[in-house]
Amino acid sequence: MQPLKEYMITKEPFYLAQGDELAIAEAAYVHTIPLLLKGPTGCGKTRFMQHLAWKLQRPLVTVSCHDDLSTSDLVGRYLIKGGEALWVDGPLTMAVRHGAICYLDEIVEARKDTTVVIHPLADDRRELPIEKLGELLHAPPEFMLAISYNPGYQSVLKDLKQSTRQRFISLEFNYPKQELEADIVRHESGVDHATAEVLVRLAAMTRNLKDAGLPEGASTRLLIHAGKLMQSGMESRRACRAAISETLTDDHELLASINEMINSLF
Amino acid sequence: MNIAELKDSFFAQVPSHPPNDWEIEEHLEHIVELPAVSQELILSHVPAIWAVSHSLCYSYLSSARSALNCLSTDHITPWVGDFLDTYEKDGLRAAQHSMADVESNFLCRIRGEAGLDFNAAASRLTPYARSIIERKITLATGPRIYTDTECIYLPGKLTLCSSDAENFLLYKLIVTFQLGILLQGTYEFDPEADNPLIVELVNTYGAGPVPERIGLDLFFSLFPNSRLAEDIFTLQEAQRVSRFLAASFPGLWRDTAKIRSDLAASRVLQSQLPAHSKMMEGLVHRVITGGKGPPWNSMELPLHEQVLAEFNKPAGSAADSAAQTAVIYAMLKHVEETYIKVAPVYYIGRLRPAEARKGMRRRRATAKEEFIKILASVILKVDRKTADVVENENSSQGASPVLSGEEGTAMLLFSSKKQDNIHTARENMETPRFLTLEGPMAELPEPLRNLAEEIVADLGHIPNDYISAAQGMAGRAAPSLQAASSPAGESLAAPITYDEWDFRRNGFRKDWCRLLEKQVQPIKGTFVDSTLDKYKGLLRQLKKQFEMLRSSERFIKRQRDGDEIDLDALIESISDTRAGKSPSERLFIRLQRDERDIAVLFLVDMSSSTEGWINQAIKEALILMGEALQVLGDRFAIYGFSGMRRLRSDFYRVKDFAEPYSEEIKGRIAAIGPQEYTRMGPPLRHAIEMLKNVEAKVRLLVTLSDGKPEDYDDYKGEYAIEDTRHALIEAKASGIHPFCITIDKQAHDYIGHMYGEVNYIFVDEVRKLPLRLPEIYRVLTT
Ligand SMILES: Nc1ncnc2c1ncn2[C@@H]1O[C@H](COP(=O)(O)OP(=O)(O)O)[C@@H](O)[C@H]1O
Ligand SMILES: [Mg+2]
Repeated sequence: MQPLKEYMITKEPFYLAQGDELAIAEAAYVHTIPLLLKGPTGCGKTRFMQHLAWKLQRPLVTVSCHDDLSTSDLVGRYLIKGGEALWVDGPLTMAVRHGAICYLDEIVEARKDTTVVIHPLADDRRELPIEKLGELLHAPPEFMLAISYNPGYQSVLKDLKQSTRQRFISLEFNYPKQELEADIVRHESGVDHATAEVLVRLAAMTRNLKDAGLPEGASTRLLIHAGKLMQSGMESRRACRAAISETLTDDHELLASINEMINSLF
Repeated sequence: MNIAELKDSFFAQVPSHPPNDWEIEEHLEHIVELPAVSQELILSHVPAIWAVSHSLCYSYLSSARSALNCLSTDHITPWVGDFLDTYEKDGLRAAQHSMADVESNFLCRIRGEAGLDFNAAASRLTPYARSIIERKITLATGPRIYTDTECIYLPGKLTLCSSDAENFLLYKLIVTFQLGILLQGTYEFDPEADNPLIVELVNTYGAGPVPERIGLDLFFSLFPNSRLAEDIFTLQEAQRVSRFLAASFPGLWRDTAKIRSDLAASRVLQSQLPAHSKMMEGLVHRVITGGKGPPWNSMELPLHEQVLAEFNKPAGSAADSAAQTAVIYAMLKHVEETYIKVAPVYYIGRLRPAEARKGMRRRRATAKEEFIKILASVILKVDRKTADVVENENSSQGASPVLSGEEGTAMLLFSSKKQDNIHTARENMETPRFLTLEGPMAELPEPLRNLAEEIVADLGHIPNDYISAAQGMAGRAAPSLQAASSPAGESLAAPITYDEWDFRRNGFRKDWCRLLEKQVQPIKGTFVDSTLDKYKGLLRQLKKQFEMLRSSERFIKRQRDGDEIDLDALIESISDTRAGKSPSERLFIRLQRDERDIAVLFLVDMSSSTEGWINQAIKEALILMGEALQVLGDRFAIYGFSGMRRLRSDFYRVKDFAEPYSEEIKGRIAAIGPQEYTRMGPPLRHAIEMLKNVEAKVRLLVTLSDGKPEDYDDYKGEYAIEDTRHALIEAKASGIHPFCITIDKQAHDYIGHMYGEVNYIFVDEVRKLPLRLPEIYRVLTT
């Protein structure tokens, strides 16, 4: 029997490496050191984890963090079933028990008192205390912890504490190089190469707008969305407006500028 | 009327007296020299305007005189009505703006001419332009369309098309075309004297001795008829750039097709053009629409087709265009009539190589200066780190880093002159002794990397003298390291002294600076009121936004008491009971107002460089911020700083944390004015000390400044940058979040280094600061 079968990734997820991130992650895995994935949203962090899990042949348990996430949501709780109290593992416990990869996406969104549970797991103790069960779980060597965060311009209330980040090996993700990104967009959305290239050029243009008040330009994900809309027959300019400009900003002037870029390119 | 009489007459018109007389006088000065009838006419409108807005009335007094220069007396009333309408619709600034340019904002309209103002298009065009080219290009208005590679000059108003939408498209076409010229490297054409084409031209047309490099204007002068050569080349490049744009920006090309063909159709064709001019006119049409242009008779046709065949050949670079220019020139040189230059294509204008060269030189000089400075600091650091290593190795060459390895753009900086060491260094990546400007470049600070890339993109390589200059600078800094270490007797014993960070010795200069707290005295005036008035609309919006922040309510689960039962918790507790565990008593959900426990200190640059718009914008921003914070309830303090040398850093108290925000405080904000220099370290450290004593969950230190820290003494350049940077690191170490807002026309690369990549924001348009500050604060604290 294979535990967490439904979390296994059996088909190779499409992933084009940006650099040596796979080699580093595999080395981290061998040395049981947790991973910190840094980078703007939509640049392939989640996809990378899927690929890594497939490569390592481990189940991947992903938790999207939010500010309502409680420790019980991660560790587990008792439920009642047929009048009986039944303990149910949370995703983190489940991953530890079965030697899976646990990926906490956007960790800074979670409250600090929630994230402290990962501390003993993230250093060389590699253990998870489950208070309610009075149990101390030791993570098997197959278990891996990975977290992600976006260090861009954001609220000071949401920074990752040094005491947390110092436990990890960091991988920096960024938007892929133009050709690579075009390949990704083409593959994921189905548009032809020429269109993918234009989309990537549009993204590069929006990424030049940092000083004009757009801290993050269009991500690979948005390009894929625009491509998909085009594939289903929507007119290119309309597709880009819906998938890219309106998504990026509400500021009228910026919006108008981005639409002008779109009009020039398509 | 003299000024006193004017004043009396003015006060007779308005019900309420303004707070101070001298301000009125200042504005009345503008009309004191006018004849009495005009003065009376102007004053007769004062009551109506005064009732709407005092600021508007002041602006009216200042612009009335120039309005009278171009308006007849019976146009004054409709003019006043017109800007009052603008005021109602778009606010004070729009009204002031419309007033300032009576000619195009009022006269054109009553004459029935519409048109699109550059200002109305700028906010959309500027980000657009900057998205296309990575360099910080600016857009400005000017009498001619061209670019000097730093700035694109555009008409102040476009009236060529009938609708605003089309006029905007035309602006966009002009901007994109100038960017196309930059992207396609038209101005980068400067062949060497032994270039085959140049040699051939010199031999054919017998130009005198030529210098080593041939810039564009010099290239034209190699032809006997340089004006013809210039036109051919310009059109050839216009064709190349057009092709590039049509391929890269097909949407733009399609959208502007009608405008372009209208432009082509509206070209005036003189009947008696000499043959070569007529050929050029043909090429103009070719460039704009792909059409044929003037009618050709059977005599001209063969030559025309011959020229066109050459003209249409694909060209990949400005050098190709230059070669084609020579060929076409040769086809036309037999024409004996005097060449008449053709009118430039409207959206392209003429090439201005001399201006471009100046612009490029300016950019190059800035890049060089920055590069040398940063590299010098890197060299110094490397030197320090490796001093022991080198000594241990008994290097006879000394520890000065030198440049070696010339292949391509790879550049190695190495602290020993022995070439073969580079290879060992390469293999052993851990050694801190070498830096490479290519590949991983892990050891170079980001700004230096960016600069290096920029320079390589511009010049193809990093010139040796950049590096030797940096070495020289590092060398010069080293001895001053000793000179700088102060004798013990000089340490200060003043009330508030602060250490200063000396990056050269990697340590503090103890008690190096003295800081004096001073109190700002409030001034009475119209500043506060007119600011509140000017931003009426924005303020309303801000207050609403901040209100929502304050009442950021959320449900918190697992409370001992509350309004509703927390079902999850209840089930868990029942389960826990069944499982024999002691159940939790936190079974309720409560609606909680998130308590904002935030204290913020605004530290404002009061150095002399802020004089004028920046100072004005900072004060306006603070007034808006004050109003917004009132709504929010966050604790805040405002301090200003300036000073002169290390013994006198002035720290001006505008508002401390305890004082309530009152009229008095607003008056003090109004009094913030430019003083002397900008020594950032001491005020930052003092602000940190103050924030340390404030009990709050989040403590923010927001600085507003206009760029580089600099004092009268040697507190400049990297020394100042490193001290500022260090002070900010100290803030972080004390659990304070520093955030820096820089108001500058251009983002400098050192800023990211000085403030930390994510801890600053850059505001390039002063007028936007009052808008941006509250917005930035909101993002930072939610
Ligand atoms: N390197 C890559 N290889 C393949 N697909 C990628 C890559 N980078 C991004 N993508 C695509 O972009 C989308 C968004 O990436 P994702 O991993 O969800 O971003 P993140 O987790 O960083 O926010 C993915 O669904 C995938 O389609
Ligand atoms: Mg993700």
